[in-house]
Amino acid sequence: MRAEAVFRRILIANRGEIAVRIIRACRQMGITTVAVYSTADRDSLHAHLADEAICIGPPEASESYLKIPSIIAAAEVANAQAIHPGYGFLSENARFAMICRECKLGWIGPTPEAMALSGDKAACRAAVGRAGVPVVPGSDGVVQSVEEAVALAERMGYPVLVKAAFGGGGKGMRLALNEAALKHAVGMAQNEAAAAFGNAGVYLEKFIDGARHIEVQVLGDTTGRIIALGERECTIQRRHQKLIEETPSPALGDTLRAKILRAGVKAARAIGYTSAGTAEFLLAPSGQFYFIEFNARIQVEHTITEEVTGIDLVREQIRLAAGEPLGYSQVTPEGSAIQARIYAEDPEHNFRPCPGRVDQLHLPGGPGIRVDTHLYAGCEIPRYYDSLAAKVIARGRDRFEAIDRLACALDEVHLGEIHNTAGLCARILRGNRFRRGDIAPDLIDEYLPRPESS
Amino acid sequence: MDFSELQELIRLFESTGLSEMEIEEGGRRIRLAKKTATEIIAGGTVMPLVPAALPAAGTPTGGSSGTGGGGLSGEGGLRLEEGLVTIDSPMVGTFYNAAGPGEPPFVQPGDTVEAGQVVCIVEAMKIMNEVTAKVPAIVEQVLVNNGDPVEYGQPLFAVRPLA
Repeated sequence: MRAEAVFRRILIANRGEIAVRIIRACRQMGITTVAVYSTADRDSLHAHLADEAICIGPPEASESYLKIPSIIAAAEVANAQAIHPGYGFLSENARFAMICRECKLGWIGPTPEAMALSGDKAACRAAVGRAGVPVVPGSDGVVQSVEEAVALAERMGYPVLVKAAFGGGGKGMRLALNEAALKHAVGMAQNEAAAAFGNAGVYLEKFIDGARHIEVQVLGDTTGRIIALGERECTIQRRHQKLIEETPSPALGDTLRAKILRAGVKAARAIGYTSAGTAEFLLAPSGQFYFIEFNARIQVEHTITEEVTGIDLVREQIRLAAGEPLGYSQVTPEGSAIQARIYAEDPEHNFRPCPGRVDQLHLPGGPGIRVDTHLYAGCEIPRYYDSLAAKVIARGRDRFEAIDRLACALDEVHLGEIHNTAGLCARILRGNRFRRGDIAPDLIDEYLPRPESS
Repeated sequence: MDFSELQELIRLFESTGLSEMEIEEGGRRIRLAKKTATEIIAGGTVMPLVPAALPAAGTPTGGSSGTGGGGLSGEGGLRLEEGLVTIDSPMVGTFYNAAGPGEPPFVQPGDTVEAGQVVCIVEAMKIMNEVTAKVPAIVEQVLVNNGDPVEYGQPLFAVRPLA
């Protein structure tokens, strides 16, 4: 059951809290670690904790964490046997996974073929739809022309979303309320997608108002076994990025849960998935759910699934990449877990990023509290990268215990002068709507300053 | 243990892949240690800002130590004479001082180089990347050995700019 027979040394092609998380999993498995870092991250925790650390480039991610030749060269000079890509950066880059395969480097993730399919969102929608999973009504693949988009929107009814086929993180996504807006949106989304993702392909989806975001964590092995480890609700977002995540979702009864978990497994099977991954769904107020996309990586919010299942998902990723079988066919989550993301951003000013030095630091603890972070007192949050500074996770026997624990834990978070989202998350958790489980995408707006009208 | 035995021991140690060896005999202890290539690479990563409470790099898994210190890439370890500057590696990879095995080195200490002249190759992913001098200079010192792994920004040559 132990993977060290196959991998003895793993290079982590990432930074921040996830690099630290992966280093910890490797250590517990007896695997030595190689960190890579940019010159802006010379004093970063991941570079310090790894057994070996190699500087791969200047601060700009395109010249360091995204630079494939430098990462492969680092793996070669450090004698790493496999690469863990974490999330973001190159984690869903099928070409990178393919190059690793050609260089005889193990890849802690799915096959390049599965990544290529899940990365082409239009093709993935089609494949998962053919497998009998409901997908959001929309175009069958990318739209070829504005006329085609208009005709389709006519049939579906407005509003519609225009999305980049190779997009993510809210980039290349446009909402169109009518025909005039759609004509404009298609061109804009194509330009944005071409600039951000190097591919102008866009597709259309019916916009589902008030939909909740529910995702299913799956694990697959190379024998074709795929299991679901429960769902996560991630409806509370800022700028299309998640802020508060919880499991189980208060929106699902047993029957609906069973259905959506089965759909998640079907989606993974349609993609040929052999690692830890996530099928994302929208749950409409009507109770109907729709597949939207598949994330072929470990996710930021994998922690809450770990808290209720007791399964170390990063360890499982490494084991599965080494070709080991899952070894279990069913997992029954227990209790409730919620995660709040601490971004170094100012919620009072439209989530303006607040990089800088963390001269003072206090992080919470106590029963049921887990903190995943790369912060230490005196560390620098560089302006070049994502502003995620820490994740505070609370586990409870039920949802209310988890809420209370998390809200109190967040009150303790202190990052010196660095503005952050801890206070905002605590206020949302204590609010009546959240406690009732009455969660919708607009819930966060109640806690933000109103846009200035003057 | 006499001197010849010690010599024999060092020869033996050098011919093996061992990076460390310790022998205790009659109350005397002899410890031999080599810096591995990986330790040299990691030399630049000692982080003074990290609180002492954090585990020291490398110790818990007992693998190659990340605290090699004094490695070639440790800027802290490199004391430049006044008037000298370094030519740094533009990427992580393997350093080659010549165009191929058996070829003469691109430059040697004492050589004068022109701006734009190739001084070495750093190989990454089987691609030979030529490193050039930015200004006319006299090569004072080659700071790494042929075939050494080097990281981004690691000083490769100490040179004295002309004019």
